[in-house]
Amino acid sequence: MGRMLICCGKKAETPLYMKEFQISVSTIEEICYCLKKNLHMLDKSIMKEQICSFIEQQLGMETLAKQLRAVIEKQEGLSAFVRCIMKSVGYLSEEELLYLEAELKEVEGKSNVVRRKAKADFLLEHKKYAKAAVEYNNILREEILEDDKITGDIYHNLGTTYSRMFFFDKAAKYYNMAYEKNKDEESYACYLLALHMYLPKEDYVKAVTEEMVPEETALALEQRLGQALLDEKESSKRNRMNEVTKYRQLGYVQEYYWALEKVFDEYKQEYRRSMSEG
Amino acid sequence: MEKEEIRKVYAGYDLGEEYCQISLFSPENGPEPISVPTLLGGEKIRIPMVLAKKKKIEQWYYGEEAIKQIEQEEALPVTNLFEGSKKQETIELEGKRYQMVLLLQMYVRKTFALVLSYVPLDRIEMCTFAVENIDKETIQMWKTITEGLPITKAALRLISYKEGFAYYTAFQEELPWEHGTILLEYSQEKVKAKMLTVDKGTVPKLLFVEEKESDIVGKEDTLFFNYAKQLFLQHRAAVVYLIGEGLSEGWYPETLKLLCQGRRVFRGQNLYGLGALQFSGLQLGVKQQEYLYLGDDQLHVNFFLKAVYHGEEMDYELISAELHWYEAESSIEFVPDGEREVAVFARSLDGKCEEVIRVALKDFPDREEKASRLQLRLYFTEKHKGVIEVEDLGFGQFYEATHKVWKEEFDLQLLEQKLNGNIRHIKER
Repeated sequence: MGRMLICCGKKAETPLYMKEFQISVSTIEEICYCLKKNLHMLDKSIMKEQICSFIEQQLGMETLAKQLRAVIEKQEGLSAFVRCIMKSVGYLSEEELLYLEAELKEVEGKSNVVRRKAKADFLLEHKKYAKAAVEYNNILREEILEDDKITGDIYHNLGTTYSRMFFFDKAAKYYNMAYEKNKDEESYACYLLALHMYLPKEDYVKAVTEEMVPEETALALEQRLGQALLDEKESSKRNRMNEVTKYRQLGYVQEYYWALEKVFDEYKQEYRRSMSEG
Repeated sequence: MEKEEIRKVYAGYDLGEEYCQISLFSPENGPEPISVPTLLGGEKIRIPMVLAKKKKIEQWYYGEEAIKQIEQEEALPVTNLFEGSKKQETIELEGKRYQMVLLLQMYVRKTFALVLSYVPLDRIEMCTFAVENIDKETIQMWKTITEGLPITKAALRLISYKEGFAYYTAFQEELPWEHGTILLEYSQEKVKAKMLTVDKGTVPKLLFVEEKESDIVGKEDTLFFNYAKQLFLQHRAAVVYLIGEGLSEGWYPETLKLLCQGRRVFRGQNLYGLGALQFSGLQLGVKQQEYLYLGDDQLHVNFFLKAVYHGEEMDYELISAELHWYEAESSIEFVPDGEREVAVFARSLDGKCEEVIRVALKDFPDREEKASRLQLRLYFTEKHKGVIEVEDLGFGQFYEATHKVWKEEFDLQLLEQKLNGNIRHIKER
């Protein structure tokens, strides 16, 4: 049976920008949702006076702010901090709270590299490609990387980030580096696909020959690419373009150009968002 | 009583169809309520509901002064202010049209000037208006006429004469009114009665008022006598009130003898105004709520949600019974967790019965759980018609608001009858 959670506190006049999650929040329930959704990215950097002041002054929840400050002062840890917020609203059931605490303990036990990678992965998933690329590069530059598997995964995701930005040459480079570390066949497949996307056909064939790629692997890649093209034909974006094209086919020239402009504007906005480092 | 409470200033305003009357409590003017006279130091307390416009200029008179100016043919009369305002009528004076409701607003504002002899108007912390009957038109009229007053909306209330009578009586501590009280009123050449009964089985004790019009027209002692006799056969009364100018005259000696047999009988002119004043005092917490009036204008059920608030599961109150339907409204925001239906509970006055009114959230936006903020509004458009609205407010930057509204209407009277059948039984006892 479902529940109804009566909203607590006020709605903030000035939202709090949570840099770690790239989002602004205005209510305590939004904070709870944000914390729950990004559990694996949480670290002690959220336990600061800024959030306590926001909760006290903007949301009017003085008691909660006081409790959170006490948690910070007594150094009770991330789990206690998050639990305090969740309990004040009743956002999670007791069972969910126990699960959350267990997950948080696991997150706290993870290395800095793993946590930073989770953050970069989050940016990639949310199409913030430029920021994701910066974060992955920062990890590679700043952290001591001892685990080949994790290092390989970081290179792989960096390759994916560049491929989404259509920088297939860079993508190929990092996919190759990923394979060298993690020996994951998927990383190798992506490397070859990235080569396919930016090299002229003859250069691609030459590269595949030099790499001594088994014929069945090359064939499987071609099939995969073919399937991707088919999937794209049925995607919502393609359907949208088909709708726009219909205007032209039916002779509605003005409407065609208006619709086309609207679609391109949306694509431009999407691209700008993904490439923004702000 | 705390010192701060004693210092509160509050008022009652009897808004009749032919006159008005103001009652005031202000600590600086003594421990007893004041019935504001039409002239400082005078004895007349009823202000005729008459306006008059001086000929050829925009100068207005009210009450006795208006009558005098009209008689001297110095001013043009405006009567029937109350009914004309309710019906949203206009009147033409010297070629210019005036809205009756705005003239009544002016009249009310001018009468409040009488209060200035006692306290500045902005010191009034609560003012309750009492009217004969409350309906949609009266409520709309009241809202308009009170806009002109220097009193905040939150400090203005509206009750019926029945409620005024109930609260006036409830504070007559020295009288045996709990054994039954009857009010006899002579108004517009008719006699009518209001009967007050008490249910002592609850806390607070419940007050009920039944009203009965008679067939008597004009001043006939024999007819009045028979009417009163019939009343006493059906209703016990230890106290009788007589109001209306017609009952201040001596045309009913036999009836008066009957009334006085084993009963305390009182004559007065300001019962409703003082009752409204007592209501104001209750709202401010100056008076103890030992009695609670339950009439047709009040809700007879409590509305609540079974919800989680600050982490605790509870019955979250939306609207409590005893509020007037025209004032009762609730607006809260909540986050649904696994719910695609809102259940608003109604509970009987004795807390023993519950009913549920469900609002199905059809075509709910596709979102993660606990990532929607909804606003629920519960209000009443008419005496027996309740409305529940639920609106989608999105979830901050995570999900945009669709502002989709789901609505459910319900019959309040049916709901109350279903839940409170036992209350009707008590009233008939």
